[in-house]
Amino acid sequence: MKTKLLLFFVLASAFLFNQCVNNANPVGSDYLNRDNPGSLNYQIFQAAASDTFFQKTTYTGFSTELSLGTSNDISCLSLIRFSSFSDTVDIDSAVVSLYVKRLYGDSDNQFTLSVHLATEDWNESDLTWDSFDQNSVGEEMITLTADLTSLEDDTVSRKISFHLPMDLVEIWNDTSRSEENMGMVLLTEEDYILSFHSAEGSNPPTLNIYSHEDTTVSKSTRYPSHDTFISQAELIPTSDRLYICDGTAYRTFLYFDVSSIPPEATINQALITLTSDQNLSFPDHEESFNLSSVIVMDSLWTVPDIAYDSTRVAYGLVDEDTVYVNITSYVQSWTSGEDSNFGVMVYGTSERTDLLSRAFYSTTADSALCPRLRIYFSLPPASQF
Amino acid sequence: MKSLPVLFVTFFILLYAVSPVYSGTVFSSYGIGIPYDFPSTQSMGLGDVSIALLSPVNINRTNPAALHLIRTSRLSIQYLFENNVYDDGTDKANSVYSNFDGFYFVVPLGKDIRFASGLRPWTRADYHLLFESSFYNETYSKSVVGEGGLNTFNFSLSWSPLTRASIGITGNYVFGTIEEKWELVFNNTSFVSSNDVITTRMNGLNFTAGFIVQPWTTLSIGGIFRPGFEIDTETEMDYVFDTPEDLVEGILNYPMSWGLGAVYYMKDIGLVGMEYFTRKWNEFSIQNEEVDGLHESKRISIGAELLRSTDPFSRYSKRIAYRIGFSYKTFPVTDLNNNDITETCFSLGFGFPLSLNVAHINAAIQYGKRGNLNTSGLSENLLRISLAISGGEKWFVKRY
Repeated sequence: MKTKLLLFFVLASAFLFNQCVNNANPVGSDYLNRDNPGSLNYQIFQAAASDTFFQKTTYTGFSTELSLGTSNDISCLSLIRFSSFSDTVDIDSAVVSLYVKRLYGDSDNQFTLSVHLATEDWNESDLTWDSFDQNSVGEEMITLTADLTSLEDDTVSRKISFHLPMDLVEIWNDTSRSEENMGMVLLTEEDYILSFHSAEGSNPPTLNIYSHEDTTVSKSTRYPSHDTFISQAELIPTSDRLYICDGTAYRTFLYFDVSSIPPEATINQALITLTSDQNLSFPDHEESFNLSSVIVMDSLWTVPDIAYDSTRVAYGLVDEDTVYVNITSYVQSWTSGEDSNFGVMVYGTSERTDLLSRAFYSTTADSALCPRLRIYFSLPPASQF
Repeated sequence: MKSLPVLFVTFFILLYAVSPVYSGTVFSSYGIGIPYDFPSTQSMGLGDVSIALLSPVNINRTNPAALHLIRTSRLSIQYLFENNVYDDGTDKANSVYSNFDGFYFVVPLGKDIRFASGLRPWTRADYHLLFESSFYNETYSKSVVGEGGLNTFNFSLSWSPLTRASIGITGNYVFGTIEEKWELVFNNTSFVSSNDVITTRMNGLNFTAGFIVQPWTTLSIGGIFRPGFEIDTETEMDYVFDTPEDLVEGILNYPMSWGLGAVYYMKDIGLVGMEYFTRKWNEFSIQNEEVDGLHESKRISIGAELLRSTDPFSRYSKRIAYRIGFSYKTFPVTDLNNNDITETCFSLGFGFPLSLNVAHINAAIQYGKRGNLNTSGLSENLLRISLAISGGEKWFVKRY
């Protein structure tokens, strides 16, 4: 009997605390007895007047482009280096081919390119416009002019080729003199930017070496060991536009004071809306432009090396002239007290690979154009106990 | 008789096969839920008459003084099914409650003292609501789900110093949790849903005192009294995002209640009974602040039982109890138009003896209506079925 009673008690407890639910429905909802059933709220926050932009020095060595030229105050040059080699054959000629990828700006159909020796060592993984020594541009080896109209249609034929001077080839063909191989610098004075495929691109630059041994003529193809383009933009800080640029790495700070939202609120959606000035888009406003946003971790906004949380990134895509960046998780962390609100930094997602840029209206613009943060948030019901 | 424990276990297994389902009424969103006043299955068949109901085989879960007629150790297990169809004039919905309804265990300690212990629901909060709306061009659905309630684990002592008088007291440890989930889900998938969960854990101690007097052997008059008591609460708010745990402690003052009843017994015919029970909900307070709109709740019950023989050797059909009852109660709260919310129920019940009246299976069915669609904007049609099995053995009694 005692064993059976014990079993009885165990089963009884299991039954009492075992529950499941039925489907919800609205019938009788008028009788839900709560003084404060919570609320859903919608609010638009304007950015603080402290919004600004700054330039962050960055490298573009892993871009798929090699750009050179000047357009819309953006200047570029490119560097290419092929590794030294050691061929025992007699080299007859060495031809470098560059494949055109795209054109930024309007061309006059003629493109003049000058090839210079690089006289200082450089590395594609850290070379920037600021770190590049302009004095390291050595003597001009070649100047060539290409007719861009002939490059318009056939992708394969969209290449520019030039012969390397044989004395340079001899240096490169001697591994014991590899320290003298700094590669070459590509420059142009054109007022538009032409981009070639880089080593990371689909049609990388090639170095074709033609040689002969006895009566046999052969060709070997080599690819760059390093190549990069570097760029700069001389943007004068203004209070009415906020610049975000790929390549030249202009970034924008925004701060929204959301302290009026109670800490117990759930942020259902928080969207930053930025409106671009189409006249200042580069190369034009029709090109899609991707943005990234991170939380700033420092109240001082010490540029350019400002502290930010790189583990959380929110993305936005410019659609025509407007971009929306969903920063719901950021705002939730600010309002709940998990993070301090020092604002957000917005930068181009392709900052290290592209040359696109956008200028957005700042807080000086009217409310329909200025940066704003649109938030849906819900407040919880009050406990009746 | 040896098969009785097997019967209990079988009953449990059958209950387990019926998945417990909680779904009740929006009225349980008030306070700590609807008081779970269901007495024994026998009493439900009598329209909830229980305060003065004496029985040697059925355990009275309401009045501890009414245990003194039980002369063997007895165990009772109970099951309740409730179907609720509610209508607010625009739509109807159906909900089902199905669950174990507690157990009681009684042991006679000598001739005049009875000890009992049991576990049963005390209040029940159970509501599932869903609203759909839009806000600044964003459509969403908001659901509110409240579940849980209080249970009581109790010990009772009954003492009959006189042949026709007894007193009893029950100590109740009241405990339980009510969890309320508020969820906001947007149709736009780029939105984060809100999920606020309010969990309140409660516990408290109180007692119920009762008496039974029999001026004549054919009449029993009983009363119960339960003073108001404090329930400690601990409320926790959880949101969809991480926040430091924030517990809010508080106190509820559960109101005093009392009831009086009388039962008249007719040999080889049965019994009739009636009773009145009230609870002073106007004294209910949360954090020592009275809750507006509450008022005293009342219940009036009458019932009759036809039982032509208690002789275990008489014909079986004569030993079956047939019960009928009626109850009328007012709720602690008024409706939106300040009218009383009432519940009116009719009951039928049966008692089937087993093993020469040593064990019994009781069944009751109750049909009722709560609220009024015309005056309150909400009515609920209730169908309750209660099943119980009880049995006993002689413990602590010399067999020779």
